[in-house]
Amino acid sequence: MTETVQQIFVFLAILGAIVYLARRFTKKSGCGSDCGTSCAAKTLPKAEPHLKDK
Amino acid sequence: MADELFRRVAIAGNPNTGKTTIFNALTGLRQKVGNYPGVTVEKKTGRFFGSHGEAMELIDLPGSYSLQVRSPDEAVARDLLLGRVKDERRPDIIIAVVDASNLDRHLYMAAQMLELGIPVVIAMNMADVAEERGLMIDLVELKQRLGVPIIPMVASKGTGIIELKHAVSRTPLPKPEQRAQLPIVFEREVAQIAKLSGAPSETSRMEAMLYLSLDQQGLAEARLAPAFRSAIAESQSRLLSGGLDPIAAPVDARYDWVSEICAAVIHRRGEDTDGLTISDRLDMFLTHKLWGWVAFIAMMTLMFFCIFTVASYPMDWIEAGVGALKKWTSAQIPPGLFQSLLVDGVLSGVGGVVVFLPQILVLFFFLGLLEDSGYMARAAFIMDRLMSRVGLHGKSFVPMLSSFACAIPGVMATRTIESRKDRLVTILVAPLMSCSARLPVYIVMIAVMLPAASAWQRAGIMLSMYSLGLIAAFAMAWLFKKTLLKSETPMLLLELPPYRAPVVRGIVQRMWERGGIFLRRAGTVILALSIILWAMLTFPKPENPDATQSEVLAHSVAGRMGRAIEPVIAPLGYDWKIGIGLIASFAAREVFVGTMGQIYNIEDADEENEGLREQMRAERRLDGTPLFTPLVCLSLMVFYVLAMQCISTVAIVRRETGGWGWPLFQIGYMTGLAYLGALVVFQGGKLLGFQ
Repeated sequence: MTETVQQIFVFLAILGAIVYLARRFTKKSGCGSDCGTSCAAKTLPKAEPHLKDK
Repeated sequence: MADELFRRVAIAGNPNTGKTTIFNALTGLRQKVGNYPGVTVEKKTGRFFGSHGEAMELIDLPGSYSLQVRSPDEAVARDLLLGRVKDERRPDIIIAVVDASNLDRHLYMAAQMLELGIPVVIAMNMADVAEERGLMIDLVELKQRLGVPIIPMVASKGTGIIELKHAVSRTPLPKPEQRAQLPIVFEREVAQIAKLSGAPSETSRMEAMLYLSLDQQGLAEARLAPAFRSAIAESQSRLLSGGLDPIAAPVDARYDWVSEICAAVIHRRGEDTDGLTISDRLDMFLTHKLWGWVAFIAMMTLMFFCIFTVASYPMDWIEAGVGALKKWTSAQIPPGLFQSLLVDGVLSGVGGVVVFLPQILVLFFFLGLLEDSGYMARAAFIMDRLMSRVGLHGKSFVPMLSSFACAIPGVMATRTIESRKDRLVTILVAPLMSCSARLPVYIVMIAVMLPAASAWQRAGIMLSMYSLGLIAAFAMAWLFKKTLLKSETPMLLLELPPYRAPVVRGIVQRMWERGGIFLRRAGTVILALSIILWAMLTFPKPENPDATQSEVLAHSVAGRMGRAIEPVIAPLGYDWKIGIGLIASFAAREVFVGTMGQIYNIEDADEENEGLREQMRAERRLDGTPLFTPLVCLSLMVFYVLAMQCISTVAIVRRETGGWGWPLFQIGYMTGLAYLGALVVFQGGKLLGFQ
């Protein structure tokens, strides 16, 4: 493997990593986390103000 | 359009009745379940096949005590059942899940669902618990009184699932005809408001009742047309002048109906001598003012002991495997940039994190045991004594305890909290709880700090780090409640679920999932961060080709950044290399360990691969003194207990608070607190003569 080939691989790896992170953390719906929690929720409905219940 | 063809089935009911267990059993999915209320905070959907092979859509709704909602998670259920969600069809059938051992309380929500004009099937879960408690339920009578199918179930064992499937597959599905009789005057007002509301005829009655139950503030905030608002206000005052409270009247009528039904269908089969169940006896000890804490601390210590003992063997194997892989890669690829990227960047960075997989699995094994057995609710109960003193809402316990695993589900779990201020306080302090990403940092620092310590001693230090996070969370919550987010502290009304034997399959399944998440994260985010960090540690190269590895590192972008912040972190006992770790781990805490692995691997490139802990122990300052003294290790651990250092949590806080203000404030206060804590430890320790 020549030095040029190594440089190309390195360049592609760095580019790939940057693109991956940028896409992941700019996703509108998610938070970029792998916490296992479903991130399907959009805007949550506002809770009604302090309603009384029995 | 194809969705229109599916029958939509919604699962609804009180919290902690086993709705998600039923959902998982029907769909074969693995949504998180736990033996405490508030595990599900948003709706989940799945598909299943009815008894004739027809596909149906199943919706698991967050638990709710009533359609008169008080918190955001409860609103999810109400909005779907009332068809308020835009572009989403109302369910065709509701599975109302009730706890057979608590019918008198759980039938209230079911009674409301009977008024929605949608076919209802009642899944009477936990029939085994009711039987253990000596409760005999007359199913024929109950079915007759409610007028809908009743399916007795033990969902955790799969009992009753086939019958439930059969019940929801029936065609046509009859709509419920029985319901609580509300006062005629009240019904008349409801009919008037329903007519004016403009809601579809099937839901207008319930919508009208919800409007009538709004108080003045609620009416003001409900964004209603002025004419409609005044019509509601007039109705309310007419009811009040007639001696009927518009909020309490329907509630009382439903409870009276439910009490009447329960009195007729529940029969007690002789109680045991003192009327105490096994759960009651265990609770006398586990929720005791003193012994409750002793048991809690003992359980946590045992958990950490196992993390240091049981997990250390597989950890050594993985570490040896990563070392062998590095050697093999070095032998296969000729020296050069790409070899360095793979060995010093990827394998050191990712490998440095992956070695902690066994510890993560042990942690989740114990958390699974505590959650499934029902102990978590007891932990919340004993903690509430402290929480209420600092003004924290009682419902903050689920978010706080969830944050021991990861702050993200913790922050999302705050949706169960009604008051926005209390919810914000909990969101602000939840990331102070030690999450699983901090575990690798603690383990490495404890190993470097005390190489000869016993597993019990290490477990003790780990426990104190977790306790520090808890104390810091309480202290900050107290401060926020006294200053920024002043509000009354509501009382905690917590239903203690009966203890249940944890299902081993469920715990193993959860360990598998969490292990998968950890590895996926290592193979994606951590991998990408390691590559970028390697580039920052490698470029630009110094002009002098004979420069030493340390000089190369110091010349790099990361090295320069580390040196730039060195004056700020020097008072904490850190050098510029630790500074690089602090900067790199802003995205994710565990990256600190990988970064240290990368730095020392690049520096010691010509030497035999040593474990990271040995490399850190051998690291010296310019004057030849060891860098990682016990005081520096402790100061670093304290920093990581208190610092935010998690970009995913920042993102979720932004989403949940609806802006950048609170997350930025959170980053600021936590970083400040972390700096202050680390400074006090290091400088205070030095003053006391420690090293």
